[in-house]
Amino acid sequence: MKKIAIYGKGGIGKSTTTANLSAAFSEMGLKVCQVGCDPKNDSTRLLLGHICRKTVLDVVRDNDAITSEDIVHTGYNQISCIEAGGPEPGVGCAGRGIIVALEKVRELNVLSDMDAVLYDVLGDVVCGGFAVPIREGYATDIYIVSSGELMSLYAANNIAKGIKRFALRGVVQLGGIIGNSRNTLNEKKLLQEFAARLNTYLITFIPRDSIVNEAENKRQTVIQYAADSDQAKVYRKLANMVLHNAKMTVPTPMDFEELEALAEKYGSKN
Amino acid sequence: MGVKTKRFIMKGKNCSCSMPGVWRALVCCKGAVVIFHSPRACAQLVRSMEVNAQYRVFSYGRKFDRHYDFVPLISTQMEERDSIFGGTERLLECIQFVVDKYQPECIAIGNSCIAGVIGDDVETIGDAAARQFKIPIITVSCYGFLDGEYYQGYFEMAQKLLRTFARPCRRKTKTVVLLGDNGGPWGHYAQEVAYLLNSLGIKILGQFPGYTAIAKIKDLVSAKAVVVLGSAGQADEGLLKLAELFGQFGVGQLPKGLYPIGWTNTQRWILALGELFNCREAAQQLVAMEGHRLLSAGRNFLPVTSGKRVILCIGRPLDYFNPALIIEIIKVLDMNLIKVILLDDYSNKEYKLIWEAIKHSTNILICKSESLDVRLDGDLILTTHELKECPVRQIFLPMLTKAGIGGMIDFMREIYRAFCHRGSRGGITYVW
Repeated sequence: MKKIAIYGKGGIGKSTTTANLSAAFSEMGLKVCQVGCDPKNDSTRLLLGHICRKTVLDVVRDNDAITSEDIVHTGYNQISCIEAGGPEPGVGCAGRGIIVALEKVRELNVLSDMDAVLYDVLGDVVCGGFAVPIREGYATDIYIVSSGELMSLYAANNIAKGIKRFALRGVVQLGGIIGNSRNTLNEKKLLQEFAARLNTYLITFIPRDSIVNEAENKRQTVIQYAADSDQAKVYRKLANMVLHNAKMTVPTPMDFEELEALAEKYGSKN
Repeated sequence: MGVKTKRFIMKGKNCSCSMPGVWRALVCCKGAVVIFHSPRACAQLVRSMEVNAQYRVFSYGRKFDRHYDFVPLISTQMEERDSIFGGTERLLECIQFVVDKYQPECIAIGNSCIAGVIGDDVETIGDAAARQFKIPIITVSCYGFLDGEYYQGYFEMAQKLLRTFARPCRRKTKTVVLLGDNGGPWGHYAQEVAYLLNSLGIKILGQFPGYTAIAKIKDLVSAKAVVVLGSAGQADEGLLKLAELFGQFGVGQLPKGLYPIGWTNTQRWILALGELFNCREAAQQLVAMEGHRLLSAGRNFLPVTSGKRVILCIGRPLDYFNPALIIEIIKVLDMNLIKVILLDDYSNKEYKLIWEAIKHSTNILICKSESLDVRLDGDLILTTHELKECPVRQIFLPMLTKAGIGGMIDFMREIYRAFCHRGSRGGITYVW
């Protein structure tokens, strides 16, 4: 089983990328499950065609005894979709929620017959709870989504620090940087060098395309909405590379000054 | 070979979090209910403290005073799901339950670490519930161990109780409020102080915090003075701040840091009371009477204690242990203090302070426990820490010092009994 976790700065396109990856994997004939690890529970929206109405924590909150049918929803192309869920903004502890939700998923043994499981994890690694997918061995292959914007690189570098900590135990490794273009200056070159400095590589560079927004507005992945589009081909290529990726590494994060200098090097017109 | 202790607890840091402190500040305040916004297990410590307190009352041989019923303690019993979704709804339900069941005059809420970690806004819930149920609901800013420990909760709650209920009122002459706990109203300290105050015709309005009904807290500030039940350690600073708060209502106090512990300080304390309450002559008579009480009690023990060779072992900083009291008792019992051993782990500053305090009372030899030539000889060892492989009988000196002449007599009796025990080698007596 391929166990993948996707991290990255908030709003960078993790859920869109993950959902398209899941869709591409399912087209390859794999049995896929996508697990949203975000209290907003919007990770699987494009696969289900709507916001998940019953998250793991919704069920846990109301019942002591729960079954896999309560929490596993079927989306596009028979992809299994699970949303961890969490508290309302400003109350409780979402990190603890992720821990409990993933423990419940493991307890119910719903992932055992999957070929690929993708964990889509909230923004930055904000506390120990959000590190659970990589800390407790849920995922083994980690990918970071980033654009060429400084703050996105900063978040990616921070995530790499977290991955390094757990990678040294030998369970998880970094599979690469997924570039999600924001059309910044020299973006691809910047991401390539950034990835190299982190001791990994730019596994793919997803160009910015309005088809992604159109598909999102229709609550679909690009692969479903525009199966023959160039953008869909990019996601399929990415899925293929992820599936056969042999370049797994332990990252070497940078210090902030080095990161700033790198961003300045590629971000200036002069 | 040096001197080794069985266990070494040098600092007086508390092992309880702020919640038991909150409970203690209202422990017997009729009309109050304490809520712990916590998992159920957090209340277990207080349960043990309550049971211990009740046993202590029985062990003093006095009938438990119904006036001092312990207040109900209710836990919100936070669970896993509360740690995820927040526990404020459960807290509100708990307050509703308490109001329905007990109709309290005041609710106090202590917060657990978990409530702090997940960021439950207990103060806002408390304020809203207070408006809804029209009773004072007092919250504290500390959460379990996150923002302090026992005394943080104890003193914050005490100050808020006073600010909430006390109102300026006419002064009542010859009245005091006992300030602090030190074993409660049935404990030795409060009993001894009550005896001395009664001897001067001074009336006690109540003991605060913890032992005054909610309805009567407002009357406490009519006292002429507060009498701090202090000794040393962490509690003193908080008690003095509390005394200053009483001072804002015009309530006076004795000189800071003066407590009736040991003969010298008891005399000074009584005379200071005489000054404050304008009864100097009665105070001098009481001093004479107490002096006579001490000497006549000491005379009963002298046939056994006189000339006995004693070693004093100290391992607590001066803030937590003043050697003067013990040295006074040794003199009254006509025993021969042959050396003082300072146990290891003192910082240089602490060592200097305790060394100077000992030198202030006696010129006897002071040794360090790690010195290889230190020998545990003599007839008796008075020690703050149980010693390993000690061939001589030990008396373990208590953390809570007993007050007044009564306290000194109790202590002298324990020393007398130690000499009266069959055999002369080893063993330890715990004095409380």
